[in-house]
Amino acid sequence: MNDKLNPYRGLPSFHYWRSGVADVGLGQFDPVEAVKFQIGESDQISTLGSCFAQHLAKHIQKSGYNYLVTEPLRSDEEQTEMAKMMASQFSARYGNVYTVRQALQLLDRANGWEPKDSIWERDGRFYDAFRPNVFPGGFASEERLLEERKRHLASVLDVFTQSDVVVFTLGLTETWMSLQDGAVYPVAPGVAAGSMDESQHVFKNFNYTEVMSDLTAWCIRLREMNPEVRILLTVSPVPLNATYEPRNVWTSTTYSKATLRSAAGDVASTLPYVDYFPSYEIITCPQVQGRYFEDDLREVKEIGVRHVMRVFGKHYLAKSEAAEVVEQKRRFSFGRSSRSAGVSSVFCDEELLDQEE
Amino acid sequence: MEILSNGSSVSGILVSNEPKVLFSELSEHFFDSESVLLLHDSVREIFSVNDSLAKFDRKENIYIPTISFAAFHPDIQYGFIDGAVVKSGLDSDWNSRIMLWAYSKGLSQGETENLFREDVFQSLGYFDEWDKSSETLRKSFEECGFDYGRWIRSVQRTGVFMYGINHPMQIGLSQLAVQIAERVFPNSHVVIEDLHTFTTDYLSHIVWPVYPEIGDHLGVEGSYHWRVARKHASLTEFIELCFSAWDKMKLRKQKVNFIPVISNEDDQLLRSLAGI
Repeated sequence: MNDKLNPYRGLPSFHYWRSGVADVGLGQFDPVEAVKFQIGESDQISTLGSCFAQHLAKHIQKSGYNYLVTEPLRSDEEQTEMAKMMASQFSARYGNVYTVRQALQLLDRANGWEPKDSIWERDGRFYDAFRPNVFPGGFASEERLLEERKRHLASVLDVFTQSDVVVFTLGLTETWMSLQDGAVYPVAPGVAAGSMDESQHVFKNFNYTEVMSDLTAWCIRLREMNPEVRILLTVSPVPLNATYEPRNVWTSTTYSKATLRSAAGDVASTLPYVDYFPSYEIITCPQVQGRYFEDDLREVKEIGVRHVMRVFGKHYLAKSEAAEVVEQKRRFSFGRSSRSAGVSSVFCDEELLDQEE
Repeated sequence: MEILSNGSSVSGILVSNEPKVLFSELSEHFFDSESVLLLHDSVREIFSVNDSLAKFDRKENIYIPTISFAAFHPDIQYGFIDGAVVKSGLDSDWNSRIMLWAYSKGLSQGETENLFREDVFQSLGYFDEWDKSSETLRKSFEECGFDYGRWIRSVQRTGVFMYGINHPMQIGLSQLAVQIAERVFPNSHVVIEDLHTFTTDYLSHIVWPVYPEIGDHLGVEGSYHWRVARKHASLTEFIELCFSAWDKMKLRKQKVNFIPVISNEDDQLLRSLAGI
């Protein structure tokens, strides 16, 4: 047989299932073959996206890199653990940004757009509809909320304009939308605050064309605001906690993840400053046999996150010798007790949907 | 093998590695026999250097590879004094390389415990063992005519598949047994997908932990929890037990033959990491 007639013959090992997946040793799976850019020690890295983005944020901070936080906890604020977490695991306190449309609208809002239905009330307290869980208990007045929001959106603008690298973790395609102006929310009205009004709110499940259009627009506009920014797209491996579609939650999950994965890959292959990092593939690969999921088969175990970050660090983080020394010292000072620290300290609005069961 | 043999007779004997004794044992049991001989691959090495035993190296023999795989437990260390194995504080033949080194250098128990950390393991090459172990075992399988790829794919599905450096879990033994059965009883062996659930596990009484830092690199959960029969120990306890046991045997005054060898390079590395 003429080998030249078989285009699959002689390709590098990662092209083939057996050598690229099935025969790969435990913990050795690395699906990254080439990257478009590297991240230096002086680069300011920001993150946004679904709950999985918080894992990335924590590990980037731990690795000694320059994690950008533009909305830290102020001394005049209550120093609760939750408040500290909200102010450190998000580059600005936007909470989880689950859909691409939500990210696009965050960019719009930072640039002055004011959606109509944006303040929700519960038990006499006021909640920012776009981040109802970032301030548990809400605000005493609308004025206080608006004051905090103004500060927040200025910080969001700083994230978009000051970042050298933005890591965006795509999480969901399902969301709830305002019928007044198309504003989308991280959680359904009525879950954290406010109430569902069918004349005002509608369920929306974005399809590939919509996600592709939104993601392309988000990347292009971000680059217009910040001409040197590099964007790293990932897809969260965390399955949906609940679906509003009349079908099994797993079927909805595969639809959602396939849509996001396709759009992320296509945008990355189109725009030279956008890259795709396969954290979804590392966690869900059949080679791992589901071991990276907790017993609820949804939350990602710390050991899985560490695998993701090991691959991320290997390919994207360009370390100097000095940084290696700092890292070794850090590991030494943290000792073994740091290994499981923070495993449960990831905040997920979607878990509120469990309470609806 | 009995389960897979579909009624054929399977028997086993423990043979000596002393050539003369081995000669008489094999002569008594198997010479002129039409039975298929399943022999540990180390026996073939004895055959190859002893002319009197060459006649037992029949082409019908099936040699069984030694399942040794250090990736999960690269810290396991054997030590011998005049041919007698050095026992750990839990009375097992497996010792910790780091603990033995630290003890021999006079480090305190606390200083020893401090050496159980990622940068030490990395410096000692503990994270690079998978490929090395895999290649060594592949060679061993192939020399014995077995399919390593098929074996490792099936056993690593369960995650950790070794209790220690040379004690495979049931899945490892049963998957090798399946391949043996296919050769010994090519047309009549019984196919049992979950064979490992029907066999008695004689190796589970000693469990060496996969250190969490090593587990991280292998994508499996780890711990610092040792077990020998009904005795259990944490890292702190195991160090204490080992140091106490070695004090009693005056280990520091003995000439210990380490297997694998603790190289000068490793010694220098550990000295530097321990700050001595």
